[in-house]
Amino acid sequence: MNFSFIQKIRGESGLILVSPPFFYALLLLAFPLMGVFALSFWTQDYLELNRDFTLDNYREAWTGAIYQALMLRSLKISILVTLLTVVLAFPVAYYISFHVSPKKKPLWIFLITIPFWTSYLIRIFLWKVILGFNGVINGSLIGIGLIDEPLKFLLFNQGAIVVTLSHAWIPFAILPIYVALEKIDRSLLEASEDLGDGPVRRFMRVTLPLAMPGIIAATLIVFIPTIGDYVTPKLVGGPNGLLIANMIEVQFKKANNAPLGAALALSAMFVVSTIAMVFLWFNRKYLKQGQ
Amino acid sequence: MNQETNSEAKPIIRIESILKNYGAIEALKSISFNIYQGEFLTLLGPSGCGKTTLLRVIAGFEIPNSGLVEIDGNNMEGIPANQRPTNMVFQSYAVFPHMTVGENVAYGLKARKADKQTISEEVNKALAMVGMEGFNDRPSTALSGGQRQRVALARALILKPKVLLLDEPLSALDKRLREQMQSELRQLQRSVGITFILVTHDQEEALTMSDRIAVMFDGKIEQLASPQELYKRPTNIQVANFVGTMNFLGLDLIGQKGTDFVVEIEGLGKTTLPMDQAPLGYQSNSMAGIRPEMFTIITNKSQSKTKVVKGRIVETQYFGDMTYFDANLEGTDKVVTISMRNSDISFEINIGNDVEIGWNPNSILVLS
Repeated sequence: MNFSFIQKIRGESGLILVSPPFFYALLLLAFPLMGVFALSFWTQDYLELNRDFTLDNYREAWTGAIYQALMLRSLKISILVTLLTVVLAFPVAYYISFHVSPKKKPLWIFLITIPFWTSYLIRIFLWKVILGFNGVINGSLIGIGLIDEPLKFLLFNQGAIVVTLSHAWIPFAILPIYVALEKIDRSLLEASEDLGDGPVRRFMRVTLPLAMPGIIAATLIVFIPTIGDYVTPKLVGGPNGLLIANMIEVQFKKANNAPLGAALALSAMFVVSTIAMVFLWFNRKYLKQGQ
Repeated sequence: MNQETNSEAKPIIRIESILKNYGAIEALKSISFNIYQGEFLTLLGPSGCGKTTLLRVIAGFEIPNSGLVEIDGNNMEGIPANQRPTNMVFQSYAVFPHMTVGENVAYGLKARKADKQTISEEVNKALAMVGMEGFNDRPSTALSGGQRQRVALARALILKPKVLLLDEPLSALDKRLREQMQSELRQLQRSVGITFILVTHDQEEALTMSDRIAVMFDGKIEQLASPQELYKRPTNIQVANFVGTMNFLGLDLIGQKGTDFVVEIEGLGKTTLPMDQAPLGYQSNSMAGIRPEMFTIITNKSQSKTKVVKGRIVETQYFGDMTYFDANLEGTDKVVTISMRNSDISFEINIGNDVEIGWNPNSILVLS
């Protein structure tokens, strides 16, 4: 009996299974991306595209002061959002994994996904309502007499972006961390205690390292899309809260300079991918676990 | 309860009236016994009998509802697991997957903040003790079951605990490796002189390894004795049934002659039994118990000192050195199991053969 024959059939059926999403991704992701890639080497000539190869767009994107500033600001905000999200998500995931009875865990996970029932835009507007000039916070503070005039620093700044995005991403961060914590064999924690560690050292030496694959996944899941977000900064960011993605939008639309927009978009992708790779490389030892 | 072994020695663990409930379920029902320095004690019982719970109470992972655990003269009440002079080998071994073998073994010494030099020396010694020298830098995920078992042992023994607790440590290993580890564990225990408490549901494992065995059923210790004592003189039907194979035959008390009972045993007939063969006396539900090796199929007339009954072979099981026969006793529908060394059998015995079965009243136990 030739077993490679069976494996071949299995391999082929696997290919057939993944092919619809594969073609879908090819059609709607890879091709457009190649288009953007090509575009970034061309020049906008009023209403027409000059298709002569040039690196000017990249030169502009990497040296222009405004683009550098926006890129750095985007990175700063993404890092802040990621930190806040993961730091807030960990205790929730920990609580569900370690303190909720097994029967009630599915209910808790279900409750965590409830924010997804409303549109992303509505959730951003919700934060406008909470943080706004006549919003919930100002209204309450005035109501109990703590302040006389509404606080203006709540909305339309970078802090508002961080708060809004963290809230939007947190379920995405809770789930991978929860899964990683669930996978920890509880006897490992008992072994740590048995060998002399108290709760804090046990957490640092066993729980946290074993939860790292989930934390790494959560970090990337939050960090990567945050750089590309342009709706939130537009709605709650105010004049100083515009990010690189807003500039890309401006280049494609109002400024009518799609090639520069494409170069900016690909540069942002490059920066994010590089950071993600470096981050993974630093955490490589945690990702080898269980192999 | 039998405590004649080491009765003068100082108990390393004293357990008194331990009660443990999970809601309405009583996992441990007032358990009291002593464990002595250097002893290899086994908690033996079927799953759900409370043996693991008892081990975890000693380790400090479960808090008993009432009762006392004293280790080396110190009351353990309120002392968490990480401060007890016990270490545990877990059923799953619980070897840390994110650490190398060396880091696993060093774990406890690092928790005690020992200096690097000491740690590295002790780790090498501990690994050598379990036959794994040179494995320090191996990732622990690249180990076989038997190797993980050894790492778990080294990791616990490096801390020189007063008592080592082993929770079904061999149950995940295949038969050959299990038997090898049984004798290695026994040798290791003798050489380090640390008290071992082993939990198992495998009676053979308990008999081969232990100094004393506590047989547990339903949250209680039914008998605590040496393996020999436990096998030869189980105190009740439950224990006799769990440890080894035992034939049970109906029993009627006819009368008493001095200190002896005169009884009628199902299929074997009338006989006299000395009082000490009924450790708990005669009760209405008492049965006669006899081990398979205490029956002999008579193949040679010189073996006629014993009493003889007739029977017919209904089943045979061949084990190389031994053969087990199931025989239907004449005049009853009772089937008994008889084990014979194959070297003692002088002619072929097949299913359907009528045979003479020898037995001795001395080997009958009256059990309830």
